[in-house]
Parts: sequence; C-alpha cells; structure tokens
Amino acid sequence: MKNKLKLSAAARREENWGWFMVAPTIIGLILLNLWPFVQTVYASFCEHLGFGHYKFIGLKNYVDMFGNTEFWKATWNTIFFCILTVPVGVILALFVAILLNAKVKFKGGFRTLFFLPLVCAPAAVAMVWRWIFNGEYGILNQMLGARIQWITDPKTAVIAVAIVSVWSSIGYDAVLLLAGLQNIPKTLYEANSIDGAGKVRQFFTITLPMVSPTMFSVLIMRLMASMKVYDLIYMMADETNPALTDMQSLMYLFYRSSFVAGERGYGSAIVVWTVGLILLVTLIQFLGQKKWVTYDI
Amino acid sequence: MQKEWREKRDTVCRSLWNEVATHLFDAAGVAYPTEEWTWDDMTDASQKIYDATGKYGYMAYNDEQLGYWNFVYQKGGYILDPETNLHAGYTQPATVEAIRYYVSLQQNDWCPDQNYFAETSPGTSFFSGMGSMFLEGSWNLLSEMKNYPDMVGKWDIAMLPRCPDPVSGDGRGSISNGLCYSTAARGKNLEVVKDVLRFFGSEEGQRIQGESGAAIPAYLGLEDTWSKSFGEFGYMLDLEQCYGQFDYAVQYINNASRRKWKSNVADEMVKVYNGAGIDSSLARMQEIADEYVTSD
Repeated sequence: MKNKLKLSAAARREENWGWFMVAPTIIGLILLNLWPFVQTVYASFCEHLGFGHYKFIGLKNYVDMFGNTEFWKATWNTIFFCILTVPVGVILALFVAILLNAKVKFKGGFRTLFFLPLVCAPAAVAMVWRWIFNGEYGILNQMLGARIQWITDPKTAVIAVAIVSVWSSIGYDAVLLLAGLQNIPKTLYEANSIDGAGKVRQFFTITLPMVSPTMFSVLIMRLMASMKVYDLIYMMADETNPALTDMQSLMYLFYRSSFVAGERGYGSAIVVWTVGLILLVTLIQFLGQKKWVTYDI
Repeated sequence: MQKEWREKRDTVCRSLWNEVATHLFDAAGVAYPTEEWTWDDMTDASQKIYDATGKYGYMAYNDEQLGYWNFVYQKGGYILDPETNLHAGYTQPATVEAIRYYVSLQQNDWCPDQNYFAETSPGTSFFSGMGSMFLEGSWNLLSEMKNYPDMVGKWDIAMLPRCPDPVSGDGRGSISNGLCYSTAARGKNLEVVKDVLRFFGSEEGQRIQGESGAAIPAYLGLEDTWSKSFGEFGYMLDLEQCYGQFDYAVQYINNASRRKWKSNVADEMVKVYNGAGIDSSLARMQEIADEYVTSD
C-alpha cells in the first residue's frame, strides 16, 4: 500500500476512474445485500412488534431456537438435502459436460436442452414435477406401474424434491464445467496418447485435475444453493402434507416463522444460523481444496 | 405495541358453501342438496354417488376455515371462546366430537385420504370430474368459472348441511370472513390514506368492488352487484340461497395471538390425519393455543 503515495497524477486519475466504474455494483451490493444483512443480524436480537418496529431482547431468539426440536430437525433436513443433491448433482453435471464436449451430432441442440430447466421459473418446474410425482394420477407411477406416494411418504418426499433440484441445476453446472473442459489444451491429450494412455487413464490424469478448479466453484455454488432450498419445498409440499416435517428446510422454517407467525426476530435468527452454517461449510471446502484442486500442472 | 389505524367497517365479506357436481348427482340419480340437508344426507348421497359412478362423494380435506371449523360450530362447539375470544375450545366435548366426525369422513371409500389431498387439491379433483362435493369459499368462485369453462353448467353451489344432533344450537354454522383495510397509525400522508380507505368502504367503493366480481361486498344490499358479475358465463349459480347463510354465520376465527399458534396447531392436525390419537392431539392443540393467551 505504501507505493500508493508514489502514484503519478495520471495513475491516480486512472485509479479514480476504476472506483467510478465499479461504484454502481459496490453501491448496489452495500444497499441491497450488505445493509439488509446487518439489519437481519440486528433483528435476530429483537422481537418484532409490527409495522417495522423492533424491541431488543438479547439472545432470547437464539435460546428459543436452539431449544426447539423442530429447528434441529430442519437443520438435519437441510444437511440431508445437501448430501442427496450436491455430490450426485456435480458428478452428473460433469458426466453431461463430458458428453456435450464429445463429437456428437446436434451438439448445440443438446446443450440447449440441458440448459432449458434453468430458463424455467422454479415455481413452474415444481408444479409440473408435482404432477409427475402425483401418487394417484402421476405419469411416473403410471410408467412404473407402482403406487408410490412420492411427495407424501416421509421416506420418499425428500428424495423427490432432491430429484427435481438436481434436474433443474444440472444444465447450468454442466455449461460451467463444459467451459472448464474446453480450456484444457489438446496437446496434453496428444502427448498422453503418444505415451500410450487409454481414455480412462486420460480422464483421471488429465481431465479431472484440469477441470478441478471449475468443479470447485460449481461445488461451492451448488452447496450454497442447496443449503438455501425453499421454493421447491414450498411449491411441492402442501401445508397439510403428512411428510412436511420430514422435508422442511431451514429456509422453509424461516418463512413460516417470519411470514406466517409474524416472528421476524426469530426468523432472522434462523437466517443468521443458516449463513453461519454456509460459512462453515465453505471454509471447510476452501481448506480441503488443497488436497484435490489443481491450479497448474 | 404496534399501532395501526383501521377502517372499522368490513369491506369484503367472504362466505363458504359446498360446491356440488350436479352432473355426478344426475348420473347417480341422487337429488341435489337442499337447505334441509343434514350431515347424514350428505354422507348418504356420497355413498350413492360412489356406488353408481365410482367418483368420490364429499371431499373432507384437512383445512380449518374450509374444513373442520364449520363442523365444529354446527355441532355447537367453538375454536375460540365466543365471550372473550381468548381461550381455545379444542377440548370442548362438542368440538372434539365434530373434529372426530370430520376426520373420520376420510375412512369412507367415497372420500380420498389426506395423502391424496396433499397432492391433488379437492378443487382440482372436483373440476376434473373426479369428486362430487367440497367446501369452497366465495373468493375462488370467479376464477373457477373462468378457468374451467368446460365445467360451466355442470356444477352449482349449496348451503352447508346442518348437524343432525347438535350439542347446542340449531345445527347451523358457517364461517364467514370479513376483511377490513388498515394502515399504520403514523405516516406522512395518513389523512389521504384514510380518505382513500374510507372510500373503499363507502357504498360507491363497495359497488365498484362488487361489480368486479372479486368478492362479496360487505355493504348490506350490494350483494347483487357481485352476483351480476357472473352474468357473462350464461349460467347462473344459485348464489341467492347462500346469502341466507349470513344469518347464522360465524366470524372467521382469529385473535391477536393466533398467528403465533396457528402453524403449530395445524401441524398437530396433520398428525391427527397421520393416525395420532385425536384426544391427545386436541389436548396438545389446546395447550399450544393456551400458551399464548396468558402472555397476551
């Protein structure tokens, strides 16, 4: 930072222009993301009195929260949902990306098809899947010739939501991974095959290490998205769904506390807890990446 | 505490009734519901329709306003003590009996179970011709006429049936929901806001609202403006007899603390449908609701 003082007039002008250019984004982030987050943290120590009035009550919301079995159940549900969706989602996305990177006909068409779910509104996606999963009239049961109560049986409900989540995220992740795959220099494969390596060996010695930085980003984003799952559950599970307590995530619990029960303070505490959880998991991932992510060969 | 200004006059009146698939009644040769219908007539008709057509009869789904509340008041019980509007009545004998009866309706062949309703709403089932009766509210009527043009003329509405053996009262009861406008008590343009809200509640404002078909105006004598908005469909639903329900309507159950316990009580109700004991669940619901009474 010391050499900042030595900047010439021209360089300083350039720096000012830099600040000016990023200002819209930074101001937007502060106003729309950072400040509301600060307010949320404050609200988590308050009781909401209605019409935007808050009363400071210290740690009571947190004490209530940690003593609530429903809360711990929702925390576990959220973690379980991540376990179900993240590894499968990322591996499938990599598989799809490799297929889309191969020499196949209608490559552009396939890429569009896999990307389509992302263009659809999540609520609409959930509505359609709700019909597919419908125990009585759903097409899935018709095809299987079974009578599985996908959405209302506590054993299958989370799996059903996880399937929809993976289905709708696979295309986006695959496109990111595809970009990573295309950055791998062809010469590496050529050299490798001259040395006599097979396709499988090539995948593990070249493709996987080279795409690992992209996979790492995808993994982090997917985990964050899964920790925050709300809309799918809200749309797919009715309030009277017998399996609701086995599906409700932290964000769903937050919705119920803040907007159904009107306890914004308690709801904010749940949000702060979720952010903490995401922070912890992301930290672990950043520490763990040294073991498997390759930035240069 | 929170401060707000309310226009005290109700501006929207919401009423409930059974929607009746007349095409299924015709197919089964069962007479349409009348004002004199009791719970027994309703279950008899359900059985007959199910036997004759294989379609569901009365679809008793898990809901408060559009479900067991009505049966509780018909039986002579209550959800909130009518005197103070503070204490819940989930363990009152009449309430317990009514809820037990309502939940048990799903054990009949002619009524789907709660798993079914959690996936397929009774409205969806009704308007695809799979079921013959369900409890519905006036605020959904216009969209139902618009969204299911193929069904226009194949269904009608009927008064809620009477409880044949009420613990008290005459067996009549229907939850009616009055809504009113409110605004924060502090505000820069409070006077203007109040003025606008007063207009919404005036005869003229209510007439505009009624003619839009959105909801029944609460302004007495303006019900017709709402009925007329259904003229475009070329088929007149029997709205008139339902206005008769206003005489014994029960105001939507609510008090200051309800929003804090309503989700938890609803969760208990889900457990009842999952097979939990009714008496213990209702006792638990009573406990949950009572917890907030004392702190109020």
